[in-house]
Amino acid sequence: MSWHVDAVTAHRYASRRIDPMTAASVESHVMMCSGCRALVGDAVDGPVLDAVWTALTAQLDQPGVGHVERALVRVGCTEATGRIIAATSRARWSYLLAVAFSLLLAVIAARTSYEAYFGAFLIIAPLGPLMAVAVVGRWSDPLYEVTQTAPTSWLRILLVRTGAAVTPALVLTALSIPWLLERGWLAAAWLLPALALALGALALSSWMSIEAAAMSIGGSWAAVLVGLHLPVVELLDLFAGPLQVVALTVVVGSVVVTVLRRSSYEYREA
Amino acid sequence: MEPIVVTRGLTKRYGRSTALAGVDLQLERGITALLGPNGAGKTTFLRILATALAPTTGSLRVFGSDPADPGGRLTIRRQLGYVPQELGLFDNFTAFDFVDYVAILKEHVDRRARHDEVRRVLDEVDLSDVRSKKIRQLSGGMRRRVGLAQALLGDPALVVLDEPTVGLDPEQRLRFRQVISRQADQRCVVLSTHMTEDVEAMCDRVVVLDHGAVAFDGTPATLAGLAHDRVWVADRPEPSALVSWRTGEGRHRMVGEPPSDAELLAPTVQDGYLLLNGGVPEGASA
Repeated sequence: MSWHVDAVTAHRYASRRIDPMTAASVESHVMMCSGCRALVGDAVDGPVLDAVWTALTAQLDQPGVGHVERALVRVGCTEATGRIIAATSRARWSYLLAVAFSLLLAVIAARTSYEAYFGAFLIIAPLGPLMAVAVVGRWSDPLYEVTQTAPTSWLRILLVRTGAAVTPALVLTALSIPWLLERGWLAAAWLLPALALALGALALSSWMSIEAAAMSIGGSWAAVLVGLHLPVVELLDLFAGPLQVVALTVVVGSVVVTVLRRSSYEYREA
Repeated sequence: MEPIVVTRGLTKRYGRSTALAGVDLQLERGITALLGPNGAGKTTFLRILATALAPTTGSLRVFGSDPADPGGRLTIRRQLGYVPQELGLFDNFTAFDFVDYVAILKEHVDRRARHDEVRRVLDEVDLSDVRSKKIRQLSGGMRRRVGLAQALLGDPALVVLDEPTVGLDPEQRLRFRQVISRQADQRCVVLSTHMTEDVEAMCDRVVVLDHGAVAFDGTPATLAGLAHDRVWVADRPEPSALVSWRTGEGRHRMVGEPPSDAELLAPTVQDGYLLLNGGVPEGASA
């Protein structure tokens, strides 16, 4: 190439007093010509170059925001909340598993006229959200111990992740209720017990790990209901009335315990 | 100088077993190493120091604050950097994203200031060049330094490191040592280790724990000094030696009661530590 950047052009380029065509020629030429690259480099103001470089680096360092985090911020979550939910990808899979599990049971129950299936559905469905709660702690968070000693409240993190785990399961399954309408409101009779189990596990986790709490609550739920050996009709009656009252009591009790023992989530005995 | 950490009669029991049995310590600025066999209570002590675990009895004050008090705990956590023994990293994050996530947990709210701080700590641990790489692509030593970088966020006055050099090759350990020793002038660094060479190379003070109690507290030179006139080399192993091993030159290096005509050697921290432990090397059964 016969053309090279002269000193005047280099200074005009550096001070941005150059037409766009010539600027483009200079930029493509210095890619290949080390002499002209040095000439233009010397002409460019150091502080300006540093500022441009800093801005460019900052732009490149922007964390790669994933779909989940972007969606959460779009629906009103703060950046911190979005990141806390999105960071635990293992838990995210468990949320989806919980949703799929609940929906599958709902569909099976809706498609059968056999009452026993429906009874089994009512017992098993609340375990879906509980399963999601079981994995919001140490299991899904490789950074568990650092997270626990950070200034951000561990209870807040637990509640944010639990909400993120339970909400999709509850909402999507509630959306499946139209397919269950022939069962009347009994089709939704598992929702309050599901909430009770999830909140009960959270409350219990002020004494033990969330995994142990969820297993204890879920195991007790299954053991009691299966152990009662109730005929299906009586089981459905139980869900239609007394169990809803018990579940409501557990929900209220769990909220009270969680508030009263909030300090125990932040500073563990074991 | 006001101590950064003060413990009085610190105990921790898990059911019937006692992990810590009344530890009294004062820690100041500089690097303090905790040495001790497995199960001596090092990790329990560090977890208590990092406010990850409450003691059963006894008192702990960090920066004069009590971690049992919510306000005091927050004060401590805002000035604390912690790398647990098994630090999990989000492998699909870049080094920058990971440290940025911890910065969010550490209440660095303003995005621009937070990103500047993330760049600063990654630079401090010599990881600026790989900050955009996924963590799964980093070597073991680099992953350790990512862990250290998150602990340095916010320029904490207390840094707690649980076995930071375990599993690293010699070059990585050397690099890690350099990074840690750069921190010593400005803050209190407490680390646990099984590597007596690390203690010798960078620590101002060493505390040996045994069965949950302090068995030694002093400088590395003083610990080495415990084996003064009790380390020797000979062509054959002596029955009076507490511990002996064959060296690369085919001779036998021994720690214990030397014979009168023994060829004495300058003791190391490891010799002092072995003598303190009754000559039972780490991991060996008595």
